Amino acid sequence: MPEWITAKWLWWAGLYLALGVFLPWSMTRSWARRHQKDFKPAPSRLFRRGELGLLSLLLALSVSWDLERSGFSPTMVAVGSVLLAMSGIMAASVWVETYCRDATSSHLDLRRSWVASRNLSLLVFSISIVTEILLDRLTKVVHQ
Amino acid sequence: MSAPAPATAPQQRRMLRIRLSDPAAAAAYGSLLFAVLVLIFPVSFPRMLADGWFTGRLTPALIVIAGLLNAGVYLRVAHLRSAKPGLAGSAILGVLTALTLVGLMLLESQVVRSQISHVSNPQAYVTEEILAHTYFGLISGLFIPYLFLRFAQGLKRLPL
Repeated sequence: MPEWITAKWLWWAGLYLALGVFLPWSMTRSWARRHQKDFKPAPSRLFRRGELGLLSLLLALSVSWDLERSGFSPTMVAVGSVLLAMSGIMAASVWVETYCRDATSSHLDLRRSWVASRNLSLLVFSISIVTEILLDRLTKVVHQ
Repeated sequence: MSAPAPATAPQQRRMLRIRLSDPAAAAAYGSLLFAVLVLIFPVSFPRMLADGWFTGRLTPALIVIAGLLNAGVYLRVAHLRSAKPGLAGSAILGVLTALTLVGLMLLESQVVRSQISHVSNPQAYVTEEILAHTYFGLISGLFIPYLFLRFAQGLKRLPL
């Protein structure tokens, strides 16, 4: 394995998945066990109202902050931050739209909300992972 | 005499309405593929991109890759929804893909020129800059044209 691959970005991605996705999901299962209910929600049911989109916006903000403090040129920081912010906002807008449709009793397709928030969250997550890898590489180059 | 059979009107296919989740998945897979390439070829892949950038072949290559991917996503979504891909929408998608990538690459050329004299390890630093810029350019080329198209369809109800 190449020397520059530290576990930092891997830990970071793992923590995000563990605390943001698997922890709430396992909490629902433990709640069901404690209350002895026959209730085993899948992530697609737990996050079907677009909650992953809200989580993605928070992730995009934290990675944007890392990018801001990096040694990349200001133009690069701006391009990366705008891309992260746009994809994060689009992901969060799925949650907002689902809430608005639900609150106003408009036509609501929860399956569509889940698919949209899942795909946009996957985009934010993959951009965040690659950004952290690039930041890791840059740190090594700067310290050489 | 029997009544004539009612004429069956030719079934009109509705125009394709883009949802942002369609290109988002394709861009996410492209992004993960980029990450895998960087992890498996940590030296040769960035060097290849930097060589392509200095010889001027990187931008046309990125335009072709992003254009093909965008066209593939657009046609696949049209096929899945049994909708008709609009000519104006396809043209806007193609033009915006090229404009996004050319704009970002022009920006990058200004950055590299200005930064090259300010850092202690210019070759390695410039390679990292080009790698990062190529990545953000590619993902922007895959996502931003659809973002504009989506807003244009939503705001004006244009037949795109």
